[in-house]
Amino acid sequence: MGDARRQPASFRDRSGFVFTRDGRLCRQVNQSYQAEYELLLGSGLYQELVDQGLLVAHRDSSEPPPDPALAFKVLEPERIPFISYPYEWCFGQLKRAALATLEIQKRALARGQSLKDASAFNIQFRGPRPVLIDTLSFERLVEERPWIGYRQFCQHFLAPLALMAQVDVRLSQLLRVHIDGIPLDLAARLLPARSRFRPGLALHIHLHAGAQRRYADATSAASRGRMTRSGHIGMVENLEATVRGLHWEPRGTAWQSYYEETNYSAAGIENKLALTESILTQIRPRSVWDLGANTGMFSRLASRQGIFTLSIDSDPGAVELNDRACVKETSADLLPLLIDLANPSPALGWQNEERMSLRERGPADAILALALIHHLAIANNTPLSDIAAWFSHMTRWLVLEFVPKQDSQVQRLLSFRADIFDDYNEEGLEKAFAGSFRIVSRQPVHESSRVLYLMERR
Amino acid sequence: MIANWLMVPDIGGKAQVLLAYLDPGSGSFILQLLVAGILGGLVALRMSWGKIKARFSRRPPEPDDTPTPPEAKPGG
Repeated sequence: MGDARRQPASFRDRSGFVFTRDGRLCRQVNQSYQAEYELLLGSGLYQELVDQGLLVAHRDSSEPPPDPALAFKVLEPERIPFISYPYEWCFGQLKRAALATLEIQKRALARGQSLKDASAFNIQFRGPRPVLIDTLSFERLVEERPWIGYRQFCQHFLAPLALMAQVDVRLSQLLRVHIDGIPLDLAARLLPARSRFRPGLALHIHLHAGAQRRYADATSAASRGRMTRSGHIGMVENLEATVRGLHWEPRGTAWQSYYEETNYSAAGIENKLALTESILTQIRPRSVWDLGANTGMFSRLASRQGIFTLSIDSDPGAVELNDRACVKETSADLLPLLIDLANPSPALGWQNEERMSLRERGPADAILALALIHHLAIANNTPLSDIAAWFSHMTRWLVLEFVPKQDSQVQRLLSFRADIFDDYNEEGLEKAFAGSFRIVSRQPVHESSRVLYLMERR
Repeated sequence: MIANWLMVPDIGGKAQVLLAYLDPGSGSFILQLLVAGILGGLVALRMSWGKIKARFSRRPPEPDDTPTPPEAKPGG
């Protein structure tokens, strides 16, 4: 039996912790949480939430607990195919995660329990569906006590959603800096004045920020009031209505021009789709990361074969449209994420270990890098050999589309700058990749000057 | 007192301190106490209104055969 490795993100709550041993993911539940755990199962809440797809299922495990002095039992939760973070979600994903959290809280209240936290990091996605992964997030409801998770909910969900909807969708990236959610005083300052006229935002952001300032040093309450059960329900319903009232639409030319593969004729696209599909059938990868996926047209070639596929793009509008299509298709094998490959998600949090970098969450079995290379090599000035080294850390199979200099997309990138990219051609690419990859096939795409490579890591 | 809200009888009837592992924030706690009365009142009102509506809108063809809807306590 191997050593248990405690998950670095699992230290805040003393109710238990997550560990891996011999590749198995387990959760130790501590004795201090026994009563709450038995209530969660005994009340029927666990089964109800699992049946609704809102909570991960688990089974009792025979693994010995890593900390037996504290242990009540060990669970083996169902695994989520890929751990993603709120700063990698589009507006629609964050909104669904927020609504799922509130739905869980409503169902918990109905069974005499409550969420003791409301962290967006406790939510993961199975395809388009958000699911709570922390089985130890529940506690017995103390009716007279306010909701412990209220502040966290507003910081992790409501503030970023309001900022994305009312100021700029790119403000979701504040979650990358503020790992416990966007401070409400900051959100209040950034939101437009009109947000004060929306009752939900006025209450849960502006008044909330004011209350935090005013009562920052309070040790005894200014109010001697007590919560009631309908008070708890009222709060959750009001938060729900506030979240539902927030919308974001990808509009404007900046988004729209992206969605068309303007450099391709219909026959060219058909040919590129057919070539990619036949490569996927040939290599049969277990997982695919489609980098620079746009709205996910090529990602779906993989996910429709039942291959778990990440569909990564740095354009919030493209990811939003991709996500909306996923909601309609309900495929559990496709996950669109908002990541800028020139600056991918780093390792964050305590000791830089709480949230994994993109690279730590790999490698993928296959990467699709279609119409991506010019963005990395020319727009980001990355040398081809560095790109090759990066890919070799991330994948075994690489499906790479080379976009030559004469292509109008590359010409556009070069139109106002010096062409310092002497080796940016097929020969230069093959030379730069030769050290880390073996070229398996090289196929020109019909009616275009582009070439599709299949490479395997050496 | 904030600390007093956390002193509640446990299942066995013994007083137990229920301190959260997460800092809920004093301002966030107090705001909830201030507004939950209003929001909870609206919920209670809606629930009672729903019951009144249900009582008058359901007109059973034979009143004796229809079971009375259970009394739900507004506001719990």
